[in-house]
Parts: sequence; structure tokens; C-alpha cells
Amino acid sequence: MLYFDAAATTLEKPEAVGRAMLQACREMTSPGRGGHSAARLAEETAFTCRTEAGALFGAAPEQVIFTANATHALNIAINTLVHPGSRVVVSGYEHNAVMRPLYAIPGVQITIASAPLFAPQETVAAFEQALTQGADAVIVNHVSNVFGAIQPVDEIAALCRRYGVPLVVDASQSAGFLPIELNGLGAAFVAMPGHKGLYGPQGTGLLLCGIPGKPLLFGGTGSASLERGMPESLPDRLEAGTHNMPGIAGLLEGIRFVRKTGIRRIAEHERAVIRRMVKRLALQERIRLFAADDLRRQGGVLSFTVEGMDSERVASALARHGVAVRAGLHCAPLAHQTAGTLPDGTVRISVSAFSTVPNADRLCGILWQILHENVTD
Amino acid sequence: MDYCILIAKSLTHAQRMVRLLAQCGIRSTAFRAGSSLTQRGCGYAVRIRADRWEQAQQCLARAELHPLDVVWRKGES
Repeated sequence: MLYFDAAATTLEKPEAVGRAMLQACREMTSPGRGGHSAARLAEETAFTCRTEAGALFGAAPEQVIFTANATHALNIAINTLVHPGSRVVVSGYEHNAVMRPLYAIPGVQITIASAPLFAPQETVAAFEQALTQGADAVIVNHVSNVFGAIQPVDEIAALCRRYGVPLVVDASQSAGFLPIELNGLGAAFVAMPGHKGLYGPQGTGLLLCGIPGKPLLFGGTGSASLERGMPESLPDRLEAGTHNMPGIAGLLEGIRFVRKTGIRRIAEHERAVIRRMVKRLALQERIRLFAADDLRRQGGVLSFTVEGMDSERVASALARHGVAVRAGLHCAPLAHQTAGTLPDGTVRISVSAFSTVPNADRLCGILWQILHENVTD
Repeated sequence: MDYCILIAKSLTHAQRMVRLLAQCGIRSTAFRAGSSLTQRGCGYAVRIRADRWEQAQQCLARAELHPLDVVWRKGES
């Protein structure tokens, strides 16, 4: 299979990830739940994962919360900051993991700081305009999961600090690709999956906490058991229940891979693959590409549409040829609404550190074949 | 030998204290602590030699990493 769906999850992982997960299944129990060697091994592994993640993202270990995925992390952040009647500012490219929790809170007033794709200055202006009206929280998608557009998070964070508004960063597509510093941004929360750019397994995620969060789940923490409420201090406050130790063990190896390889090197590699595809896909008249003029404004995600062919049919045809991409709305209808690609959405190619230029060429060759067969709706 | 028990807020807090104390040249052990020590149910604590407490206190204070409480024990192994 030619795998180009890393924005959904990275299928190709460092070998150490699987080995660590197997070791965890065989040798680890739960941190904080026993004094025996299997529990202690789990404790050491979990702490090391927090420490390595903290070093990567400019956070103390206790500011690193383990979650099931980025959606879980975002729900904790939103549950903390947003209440009935709150005013929230978001970008025009947010995922349903942000929008659905907001829609579920009664009376929330959502202001969309809308701007064209790959237009950072307009985006900053839109956020500033929105913030002058007052806000209780800002939530921004660092890199669009549909179009790969890199949003100017540093500038938006500066605006939030100036206006005294807490910021939530959805780093689902940027963790492991772009530098992120929790304490440098002054963000309230940064949410990310473990299973995409951090190369951990599915079922893992991280929430970096600049402020104490409000518990979403209540239950056992292996600490302060006599108290009826969740513990006051992090990370226990936000981690009820048994930890996913095979996941955390695997995630630790993924983070080690990212730190050892280097984020800059990973980003350069992914941009080279994207650049190659942009160059080749741009030659096809029937293909409409959504690519930045300056690829430094784009992450490892590239969307396109094909004239006369629904995006799902393109993706199905590619799948029959062994190419994995994703089509449709990518759980981000707001992004498609902003970019004007409703109702059919786009075909999305997304790359990882394991994608290659030769495989990108193969994808393009297969796509030409599909177009040549002229399968139209 | 007399010991000093530093009550931790959480397992992670205990682990941080152990790492930090090691950097300051102080040997310590994190362990599960019961209600009789924590007063709040299950928890974690860090044990150091009593004669290292002053140095440990300075080490932890520099990092703003304070134990919830400090309990002294005589001759506990």
C-alpha cells in the first residue's frame, strides 16, 4: 500500500513503538496502583513519557496529561473554559472535535475569525477584530487537517495575551512537525493526538496544561483516595481511571523518534514530498490544487479536487490501486465551508516522516491513469 | 538511621522530587504511602535521610517543588 493518510493516523511507525507496546503488555501494570515491580516499571515509563513530551513542548512533566486522543484533550480544554453563554473565537478551519463540543454547550456565541487559506496576515487581522468584541476563549487549529494551512499561532497567542483571553491550540496536525512551546505561547491548553505526528499508537493523546483543568472524567487516580473530589493537582486531576500503558509506552518511543530525528528535519522531508506532488499535480488541468504559493505556510497535508469526478470516487479508485488517501469533508465541514469546497469536499493527501518522493511519483502516476480512464460522474 | 518522609501531591510529584534530589546529590526513594502518612488516602511519598533534609529543602525550593508535608521517622528502614 502507498500510504498517504497520515493526517488520519500514521500507519508507518518506528519499530521501537511496537516493541515497547508488547513489552508493556507483558511487563507493566498501572502506575499509581501498586508497589510491585510491574507497577513501578509502568510508573517509570509514564513519567519518562511525560518528561520527554515536556522537553519537546516546553512543559513541566505534570503539565503533560495523557488522553485517549486529541478529541478527548480538546473536550477537557473546552469543558474547562467554555460555559453556557460564553463567547468563543475560532478560525474558519476548525475540526468537529472543536465545533461539536461548542455546539453542545447551550448559548455559546461562536465568532469565526474567517480568512482565506494560506493568508496569515488576514487571519491575524480577523482574530484581532473578533477579540475587540470580547471573548472568553480562543480556539485555533494550528495546521488545517484538510488544507494543511499553517495558522499564525504565535501572533494569535500574542493577541490573546494582550486581550487577556485564554487560548487553546489544536496541534493535531502540527505536533511533531512544527515547534510548539506551551509556556512560550502562554496558552491555556495545547491538545494533540499521540498517533499522528508523534508516531505513537492509536488510543493516545496529550493535553498540555498551562492552567489547571476542570475534570471531564471522575474516578480513581491512585491518590488522595479519601477525598471525594478529584485531586487538585495535575496530572492526577485530569487522569481518572487506568492508564493505557501499552499506548503510553509506544508513544514514548514515538516521541523519542521525533526528538532524535528533529522536528526541522521531519518538516523539511515532508515539505519535499508535498512540493513534489504540487509540482506534478499542477500539470493536470482537471485538478484543482489547494496549495500555498510559499510552502512554508503549508503542513504535510495537500487537498485537491478533480473536475467531473466526485472526491469519494477519486479516493475509491486510488484505493483499488493500493493508494490510501482520504476524501470528503474530513470531519471539518467548517473548513470546507470557509474554502468553498462544500458539498463534495476534497481528496486529501497527507504525508509523514516515512513518506517518500518515489512513492509520491507513484501516486501521481496512478492518478494520471485514473484520469486517463476518464471515469466521470 | 533517622528518615524524613516528604509527602507528595501525586506520583508524578514524587517522581520529580526524586529526580531533582538526585541532581542535587541526594539519594531518595519514592514509595506508596497509606492514609496514616498522607491523611488523604493512597498516595506517594519520598524518603531521604534525616540529615539530608536541609540540603533537600534548599534543592526543592530552588525548583519551587515543595512537598505537601514532611514527616520525621526514627530509625525506619
